Amino acid sequence: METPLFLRKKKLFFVFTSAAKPVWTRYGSETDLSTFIGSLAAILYKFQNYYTGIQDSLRYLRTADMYVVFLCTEALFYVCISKGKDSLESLYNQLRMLHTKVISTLTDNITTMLISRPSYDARNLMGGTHSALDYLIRTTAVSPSMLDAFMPVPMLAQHRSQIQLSFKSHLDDDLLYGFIMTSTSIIYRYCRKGENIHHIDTSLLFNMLASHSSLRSTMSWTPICLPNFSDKGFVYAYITFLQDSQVGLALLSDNSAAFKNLKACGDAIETEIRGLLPIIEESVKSIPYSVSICGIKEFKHFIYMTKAVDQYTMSGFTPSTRDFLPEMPIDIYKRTLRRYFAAYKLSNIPEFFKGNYTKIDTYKNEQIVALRTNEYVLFASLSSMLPAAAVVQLTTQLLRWLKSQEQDFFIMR
Amino acid sequence: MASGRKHLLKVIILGDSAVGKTSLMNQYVNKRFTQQYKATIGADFLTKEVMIDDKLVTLQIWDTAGQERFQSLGVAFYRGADCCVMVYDITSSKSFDNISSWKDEFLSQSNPKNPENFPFVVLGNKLDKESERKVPNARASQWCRDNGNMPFFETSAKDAINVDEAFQTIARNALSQVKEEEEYKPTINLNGGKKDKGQKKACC
Ligand SMILES: Nc1nc2c(ncn2[C@@H]2O[C@H](COP(=O)(O)OP(=O)(O)OP(=O)(O)O)[C@@H](O)[C@H]2O)c(=O)[nH]1
Ligand SMILES: [Mg+2]
Repeated sequence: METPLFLRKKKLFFVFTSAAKPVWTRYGSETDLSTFIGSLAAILYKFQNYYTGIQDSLRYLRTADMYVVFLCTEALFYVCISKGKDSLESLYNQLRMLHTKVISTLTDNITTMLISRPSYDARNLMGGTHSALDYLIRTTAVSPSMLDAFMPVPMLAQHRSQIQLSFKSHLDDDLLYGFIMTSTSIIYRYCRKGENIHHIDTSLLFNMLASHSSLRSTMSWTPICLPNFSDKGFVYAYITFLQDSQVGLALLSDNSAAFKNLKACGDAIETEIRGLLPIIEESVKSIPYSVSICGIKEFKHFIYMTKAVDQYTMSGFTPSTRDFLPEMPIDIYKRTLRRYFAAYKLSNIPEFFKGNYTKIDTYKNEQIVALRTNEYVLFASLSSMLPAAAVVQLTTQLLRWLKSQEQDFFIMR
Repeated sequence: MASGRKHLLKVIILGDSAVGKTSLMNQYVNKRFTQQYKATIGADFLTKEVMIDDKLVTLQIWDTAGQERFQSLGVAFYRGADCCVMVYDITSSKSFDNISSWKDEFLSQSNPKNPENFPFVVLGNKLDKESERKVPNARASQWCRDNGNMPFFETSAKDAINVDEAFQTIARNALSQVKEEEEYKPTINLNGGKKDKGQKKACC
């Protein structure tokens, strides 16, 4: 039999119910693929049969040039077939993000529904979300997802605190989260006292903004489920863009009737930060920034994350826009990212991580440093010619510089 | 939304080995028949689009292995089926006698919401071999009437007799179940996190 066209793609994704009814596929129509999905489900069932009673399911299959990765949630199954070089971990991260996005679209009531009615045909509910899911797959493929953090744009701390001040002086009880952002970058993030916003919920909001251009053209009041806040229902986002600019304001509430309050609140904030617009636009343009800003010429790339604020910053590439600087072309970046993943992997195992973890991997054309403590994570790429002692010394220097810049790199509390 | 809905229906075909399950499915989907017998291992899948009234329906047909009776794919396999087709061979009494255990197994494994109303369809296959018939039409009809009035057809996968008609009924009955389902309502408002509106700070 001839290979169907869709199977020649490099990276395929499938979402289907536990009854093997298709919910979403990246390529091809769900209808054409329903027999293929049936076979995938049959493979899963067969393994479930072997291991009945054990709380586990098939995780992946591997061939010479291909990974088939499975993620089974209570009522929905996710499968990725990848012929690329992606690591297993990053494929899992993508599948988990896909699941989060499905829940963000339908709320977790879909799980309840499918458990009580396994034959339910959920495909129709996903109408209009194709581009958002595809965008999610493209962005997660190039993001350092192992860090569980997001990247804000760098901005002088004094400017950022002016924005913060305008939020703080116009707070409304209905305001849960607030953002000053463009469709691809975060300038400021507010969070109601006593609440936290999960970085995944943040990226879901940005996925929605980036993939629905209509949200950028008018003022809107849009429901979105943020599963880490609550997967039981929707919160509502008031989204508006400052006149003649790419800079927007998103105010979220868990009260569906809060539109008027949030709009008033938004109007007030907007008036106050209008004067900062040139500065905001300048800082948005500053990413991707060159690795040379650290002033240490041996470094080719770095990513730095602080746990205290669940944010990271990185040179030369922004996952949300896929913009990169010439000094690090995308393919090289992807390879470096895979090497970061590899160097970081062991630190997830308690035997290897006791509050402090350092790994230096030497490749033909670069050396990878991964540092992890309870406070921060640092990844960096250096020339392969350097002796180990120099790598250690330069890394310490870079770390010191990064720490001194934290106030500007990150949105501080 | 309601009219534009696309439907995908999962149809499971059960029955003893060699009664002609795969042949019926192939005749229906590919309009082909072969004398050669190749036992199904595990399961085979085919899809077919049909019009039921004004609705385009995709049938996802799961053809199971009769020979694997006691090592079937089990619960998971039957999960969420919209219709179950049970096939016997009119020249084999045993294959007909087994229909009721196929039914019991399906119901106990798939555990549908309303077992009394679950759509089953019974097919007595190999009608072209009339001279070797062992199961009288009347006997099978009676059994179907006694078991909740299951639709019943005698078919021939070889000569394409009653095959389209049978699957049309299968699709229609499966679809009727779906129509009775409630719509999905995801909208549950989170009742605003805050308790005390009175203390509201003046905003603007
Ligand atoms: N004469 C005649 N032979 C048929 C008919 N349908 C199937 N056969 C023959 O019966 C044999 C078995 O058919 P299959 O369709 O493979 O049977 P099955 O039910 O799928 O069997 P398993 O896969 O083992 O469960 C084959 O040799 C077919 O050619 C029919 O309508 N008339
Ligand atoms: Mg067969």
